[in-house]
Amino acid sequence: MIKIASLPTIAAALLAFGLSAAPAQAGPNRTWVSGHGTDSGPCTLVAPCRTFAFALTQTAAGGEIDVLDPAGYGMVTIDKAISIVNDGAGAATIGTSSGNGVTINAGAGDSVRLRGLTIEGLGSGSNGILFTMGGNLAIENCVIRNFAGTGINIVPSTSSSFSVSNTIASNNGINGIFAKPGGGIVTGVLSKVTANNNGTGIFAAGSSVTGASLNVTIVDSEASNNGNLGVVAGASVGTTAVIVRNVVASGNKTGLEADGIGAILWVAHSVVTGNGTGVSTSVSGIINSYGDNDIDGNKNDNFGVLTKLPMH
Amino acid sequence: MTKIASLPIIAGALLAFGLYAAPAQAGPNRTWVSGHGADSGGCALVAPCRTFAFALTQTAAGGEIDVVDPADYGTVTITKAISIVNDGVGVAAIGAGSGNAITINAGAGDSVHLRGLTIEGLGSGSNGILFTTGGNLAIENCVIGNFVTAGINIVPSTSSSFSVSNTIASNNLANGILIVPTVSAVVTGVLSEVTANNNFNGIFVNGRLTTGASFNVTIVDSVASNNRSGGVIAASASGNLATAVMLRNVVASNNVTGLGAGQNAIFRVAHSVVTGNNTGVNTSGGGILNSYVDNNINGNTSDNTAVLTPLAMH
Repeated sequence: MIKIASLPTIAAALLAFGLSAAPAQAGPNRTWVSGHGTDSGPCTLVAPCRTFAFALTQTAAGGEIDVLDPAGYGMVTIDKAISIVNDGAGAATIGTSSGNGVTINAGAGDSVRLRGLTIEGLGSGSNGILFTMGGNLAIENCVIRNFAGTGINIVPSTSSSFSVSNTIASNNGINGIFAKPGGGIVTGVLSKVTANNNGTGIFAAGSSVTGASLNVTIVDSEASNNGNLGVVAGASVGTTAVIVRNVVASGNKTGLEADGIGAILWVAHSVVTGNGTGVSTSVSGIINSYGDNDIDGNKNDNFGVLTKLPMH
Repeated sequence: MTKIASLPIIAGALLAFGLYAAPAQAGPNRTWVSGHGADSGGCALVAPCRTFAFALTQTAAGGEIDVVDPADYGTVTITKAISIVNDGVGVAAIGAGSGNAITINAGAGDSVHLRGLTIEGLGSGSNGILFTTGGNLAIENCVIGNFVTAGINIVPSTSSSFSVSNTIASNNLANGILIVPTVSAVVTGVLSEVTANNNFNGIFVNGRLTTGASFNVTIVDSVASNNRSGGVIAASASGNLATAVMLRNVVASNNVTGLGAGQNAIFRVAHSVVTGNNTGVNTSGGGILNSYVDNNINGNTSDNTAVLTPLAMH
């Protein structure tokens, strides 16, 4: 007769071997993915997983999924605070010809951070990154291209903030970067961002809800060769305030535009050249210039629409 | 009977094979750590170690610990001159849910250099990097977040200098970057291409505790945004020499206060953007905010530019 060990004995043996049942509610704070990984277990360094989506199920809220080596890691829908980090291990890619590369629908206070991702839409994907709910979104060192819709689509239904830095959002059909509040206050900074060869490079769009507002600071960035607008601040019901500093807007149909009552765009230290129209306002939108911009060489510079504003 | 070689012969044989007893006092100048390493031996490239802390014991003062591949390398207390370097192999992480990820308590003249580290406090760690004594601290290409007191806490009791570049210190409960010399330390440093978002204070230059003859911080090409109190703030002790902060090409946006010159502090701000804050710029307690009159301070609930004192460029 074969003696079968009792459960406590088996559990003790498992513990002795360093194995344990993964906690049902949490999971480790740090998980790993690799092109040679397998989607099973808790995604440790020595037994990494294969996809972002599976690793997310194994990672505690507020934790970090780290990339070990170059691979395609698959689309992912984020529903909690998380960081997905590639810090220079090679291309950590998401390729999708339909749907979104990364969908973020997290808690209203959750921080989500994406670093070092290369997201490819193959010409027909909807959005590279779609942010519909969360407290804060940080995007660093990413490349997002070839989506039929928008590269980075920031449309939170509640108040939130965002930061995009050292990132390229180019070759997308509609917008490189689009931000529009639902009902809350949305603020953000775009720093060292390139939005080229899109329909519109960077579109800060006003909410259709009274009291909602959008405030975007764009520095050290480029919005060029977009089929329609380079940078546009639009407003209908809510207010949209955009400060643009040290930005190049070139080769667009229109370089910079402020469109609608409540849309204000301030421009400093920037280059607006080679566009069909340099700067443009419509429906009582305002473009304030600090008088230190190079707005020349457009088919129609149109700097007559500018309101001069002093520096401080 | 088997003849056993004498010790000198054994030593000679070992030397011939390139093995020798590691010197008790020094160690190699360069050690390696890997996620597949083991904490034993001299941490050579072909037999790397597993943690920063162990590698530190094996490395000569003034040497360098190099990262071979991505892993979490554990918290470490640095008591001598050292470099810890990840130069782009992937995430070189330290997770510290309690205490500090890196504590630097080195010699008063020691140089410490940290590059390419991703440091996570899980919402409960004290400081990402705590610098209490040392000659010079250089931090590059690091990401530090989710600590209670500060992402980077530079609190030297002796005179020292620091340089932080291409670094993110965000999502910390109190401060992104806190600089507070103590005793009579004279401290000078540069923050370049630094991001300090979603903290209580983004960057706090606190001269309140030192009686040192000067305290000088330069901040360029940086962003302090969405902080729950100050974007960049500074203060000195009453009667002490003023804390001086020079800001150029800084974005202070969506904070409660964008730039705050507190007691006895002097800010000089050039070429910067201050927008979307409750109060754009603010002075208090005799603090002075000099402007080179080339800043974009608009779109705040209260721009408050009347507090600025114009300063000429040269």
